[in-house]
Amino acid sequence: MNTNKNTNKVFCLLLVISILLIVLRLTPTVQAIKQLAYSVLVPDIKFSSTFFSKTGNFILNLSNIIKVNQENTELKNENFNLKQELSDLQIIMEENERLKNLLSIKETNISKPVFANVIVREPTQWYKSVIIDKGSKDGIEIDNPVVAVLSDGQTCVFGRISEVYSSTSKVALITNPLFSVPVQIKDLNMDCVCDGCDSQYLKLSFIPDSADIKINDKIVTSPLSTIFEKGINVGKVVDIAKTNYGQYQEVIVEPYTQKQSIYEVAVLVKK
Amino acid sequence: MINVIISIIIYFALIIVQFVIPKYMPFNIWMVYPNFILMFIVYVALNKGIMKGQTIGFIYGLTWDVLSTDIFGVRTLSFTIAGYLAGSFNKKLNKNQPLTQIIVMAIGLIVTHLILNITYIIMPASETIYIQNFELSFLIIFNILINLILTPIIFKVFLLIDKRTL
Repeated sequence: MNTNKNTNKVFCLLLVISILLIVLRLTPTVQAIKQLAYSVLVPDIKFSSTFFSKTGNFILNLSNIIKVNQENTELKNENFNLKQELSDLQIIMEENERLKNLLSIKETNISKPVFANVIVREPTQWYKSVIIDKGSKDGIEIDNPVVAVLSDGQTCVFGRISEVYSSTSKVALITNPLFSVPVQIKDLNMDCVCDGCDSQYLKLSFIPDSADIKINDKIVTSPLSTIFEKGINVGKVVDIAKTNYGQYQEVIVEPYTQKQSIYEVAVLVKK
Repeated sequence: MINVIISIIIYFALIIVQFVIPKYMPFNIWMVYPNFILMFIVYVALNKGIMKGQTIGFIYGLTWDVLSTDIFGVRTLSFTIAGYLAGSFNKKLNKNQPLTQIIVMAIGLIVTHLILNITYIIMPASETIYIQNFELSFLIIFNILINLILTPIIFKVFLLIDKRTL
């Protein structure tokens, strides 16, 4: 009971003080007390506010760094994918260009082109043969001529069909030692035989010593050829050597097909 | 001595929690944030009785007045009355029941807002904003609701601190 009385007394006292503070809030004494209390409390509040603000900024910066890092990773991936796509596109464009060039081979009265992709080129048979993805089902027969179209648009001798299967064929390359084709030195109208050497060069045989052959002379197929039509590009002269033992000279020819990689060819099938 | 130091630490900690942390809380966007000080006053009053409730109400009210630009003394008055009223429920209700806590807190909040508004009506000084407008009234109701929802949770936190210190 006594405690209750004291409690009520204190409550009344506190109420009176509160009301007095409200009433006398603009007097210099109350203002001075407020200022004093303010100067004690504010540094504490200010310090805490700065602390939390700095902590908040730190967390914000940290989250920004994480976001930037994630964004960077995503952009790197995107960049990688775009580069990959660009590279694929370039490959497709190059292939498209090659195929467009290949389409320049027109059908004639004697033959029609069958377009094929080179699917196998074994390192051990590099200058001897390749395998293409067309076979007897597509009308290909043994000894059909195979030509390629270079990036500058000229058609050149690639080889001839040596083995035929139902959906694939083996092409004996022009550089194969077993491959011989009658050719003509274009500017001289001189016929001779071109042999493969199992290297990147070809050799011309049976050229008289008196023939005025020059470096860079063009070599084309001869009308004497039973496989190739006349006038198909073969290569150009890169070296001439006089033999000591006879009346012939040795001429080295670089085939045009060695100037670039060939992935698509045309087999000229008899009609 | 240790009790005094702990009380001072709690006093300053609560001021920081009330005046600094709300700036970084999402509710602050709507000018609404929990009244941790009033919750503490109600908690102490409900658990320790009228005497402690009204004294703590008076001290915290005075502190709030010092830090605010409101009519000086208005929160001292309202928090003292809130502490007294909440303390009068000590030992009469089950203070551990969340519903009891919410009801007593609701009384405290309503009394505080009532006294604030009555004071603003009686003493419309240039330094105060007389809350009349519907939007602000809606905000007061929203503020009360947020406080009432948070009351049982905050009381649990106070209980944890209480077991170790108070």
